[in-house]
Amino acid sequence: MYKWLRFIILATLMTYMGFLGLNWTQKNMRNAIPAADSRISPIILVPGSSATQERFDAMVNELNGKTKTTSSLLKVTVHTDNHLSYSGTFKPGRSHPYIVIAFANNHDGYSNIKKQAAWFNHAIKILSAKYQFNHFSAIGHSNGGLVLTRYLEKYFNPQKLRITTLMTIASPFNFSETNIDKRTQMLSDMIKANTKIPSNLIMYSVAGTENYNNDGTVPFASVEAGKYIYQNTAKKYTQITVTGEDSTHHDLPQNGEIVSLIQQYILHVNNLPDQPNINIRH
Amino acid sequence: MVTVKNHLLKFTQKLYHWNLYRAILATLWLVFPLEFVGVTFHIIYETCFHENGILETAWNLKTNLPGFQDLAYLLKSTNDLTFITVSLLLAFFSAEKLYELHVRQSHEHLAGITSLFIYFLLIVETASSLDLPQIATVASNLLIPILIGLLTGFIYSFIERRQPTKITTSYWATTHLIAIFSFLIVFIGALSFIIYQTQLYPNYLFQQVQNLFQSGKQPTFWRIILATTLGNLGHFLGIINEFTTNMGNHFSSEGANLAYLAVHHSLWKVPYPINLHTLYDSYGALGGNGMLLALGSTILLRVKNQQTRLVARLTFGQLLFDQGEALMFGVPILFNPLFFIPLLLAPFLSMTIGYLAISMHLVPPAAYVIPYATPGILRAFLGTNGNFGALAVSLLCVCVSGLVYYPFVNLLDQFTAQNGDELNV
Repeated sequence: MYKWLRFIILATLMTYMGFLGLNWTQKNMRNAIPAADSRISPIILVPGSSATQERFDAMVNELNGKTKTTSSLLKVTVHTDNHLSYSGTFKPGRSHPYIVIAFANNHDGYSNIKKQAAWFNHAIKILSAKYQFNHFSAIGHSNGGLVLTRYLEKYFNPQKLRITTLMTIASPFNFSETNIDKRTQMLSDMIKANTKIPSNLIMYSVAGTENYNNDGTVPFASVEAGKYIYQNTAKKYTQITVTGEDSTHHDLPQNGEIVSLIQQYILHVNNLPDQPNINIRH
Repeated sequence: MVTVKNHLLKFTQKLYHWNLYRAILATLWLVFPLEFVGVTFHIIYETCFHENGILETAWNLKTNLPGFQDLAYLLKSTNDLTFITVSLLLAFFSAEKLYELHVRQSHEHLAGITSLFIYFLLIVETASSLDLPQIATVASNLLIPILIGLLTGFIYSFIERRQPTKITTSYWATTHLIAIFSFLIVFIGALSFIIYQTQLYPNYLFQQVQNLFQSGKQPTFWRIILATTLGNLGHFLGIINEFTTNMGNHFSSEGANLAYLAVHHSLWKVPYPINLHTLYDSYGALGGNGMLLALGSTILLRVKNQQTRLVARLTFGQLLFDQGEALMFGVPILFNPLFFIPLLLAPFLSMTIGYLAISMHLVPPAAYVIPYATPGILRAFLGTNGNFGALAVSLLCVCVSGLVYYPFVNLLDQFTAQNGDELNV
């Protein structure tokens, strides 16, 4: 009797461990992060409201003109039925390929931004599988930055994809509200969900100012509200203000200053010629 | 086969009448209870308090149990101390027992104390640093304390025979012991200094052997067999060190498999289906080195000798968690020529079965990360993401190894029948 009891206890323990161990193994592998970055790291560009997939043509031209290598530009529009239409080319070369993800329904408003974030998630899943990349940088202009923020908070899976750098250009985190104390529904939702922001993200929020208050469309205070979402959650949060020529809301993407910032912070291209290090003695 | 058996029996019998061997057997039996307790607590530590231990992950003890870190630390240091004590006792008792067998009289434990002192000095002084885990690592090599003990016991019994006055008398002790211990401190110090300074050389030798296995990078069946057989041979002689336990562990193949799995999630096409983990850990080391789970089961099924049965019954639970040390002390398997052949043959056959099953695509290779201290028979099952074929192959390996052990376990009964109670020195 005692012998059988012992046997049964051991068998039960083994089955129990087998069951739980399997559970752990499967969970562990599902969350396994690919050890190496994919060779391709595209830069995803998201236009704002009322803008189409052509929104960044001027900016990309400017960037390509400034760097030695020419990067390909692929333009994708997500339609309301989730199907994608493509134009342009995707060339996995030495430089970062650009992918514009625009939305057929490009209206303004919080409810639409929610929809656009879902469409964006759908598109990036398909594109990352199709063009085989597992990390990317993103630039969002105006509402595009809001879509990206919503995407990072609600859909982004850090086990599948990695985002290195995010730059939002004149993104109104508090819509047209000029008083920072009056938080819109969207801003409070985004602040509430900001724990989901990847902790290794490097984030730049660029604001343009035509006068002391706004860039002609978006209030500076609304752009600045982004700090409540990103500051202390992302690895780095930097707020940059650009003034001068081409600093109205619609000209900002091709603003020379911002193009330089993109080059410096996202492409990591140094314009300065390599200087010999005089301190090295042989 | 029959002649082999007879030769083995005769050889064991001859060995058994040798005082050195009897001293080892008696020592192992004396130390068995402490080793058993140490291993039990070691299993508790590994399953419950080691990060990603199988029960730790199951119950998420790290977050759920208050004071987890403190308990883990306490248990870890207790484990280290227990195993150091086991080694110290080995040094003590092997000197004592040999002296008693030679001289057959009490001597106030001078041989044991001297041996203990020598061994303790040696492990502490040759450890790479003065902390407990490092000393425990040095102490895990069981051959050294036994050799030191035997040598000390032999020298004392030699002195005893030459000495007209008995060395137990206080006169001899006071005049000689001061000189003996002073000499030992200087001598062991110098020896340790040399060992410590020249550690490079044994390490270099080990490196060369390891490189031999890994040349060409791709782990092959024969290379894995060679590495694991060499490791098992070391364990048979009590040489348990980093070299014998991690012999083939430096192939980069497992990392490559995992990187592939992280992207593709398909076990059938991993880049290295044959490696140390998929063969040895999954099929060749169930119950610890030498398929001891099969030996334990065979003893329980077949052996009549009460002492051996008791050991197997006690340690069976430990064998499920791949801790065979207590069984190796209790039967004993260490230095026991009866088990030399099956100890090397059983893992070899099991790995061959595993190899055939994997290369014939009957089961996928076990490449998934599994919880720490997963019981042996579940390792292939979990590593293949719950493939029941792999579980069946594991069980088949235990059965085949049991068959390998069977004739030799029979010899154990014959041997005890011939020697009667004498075995319990």
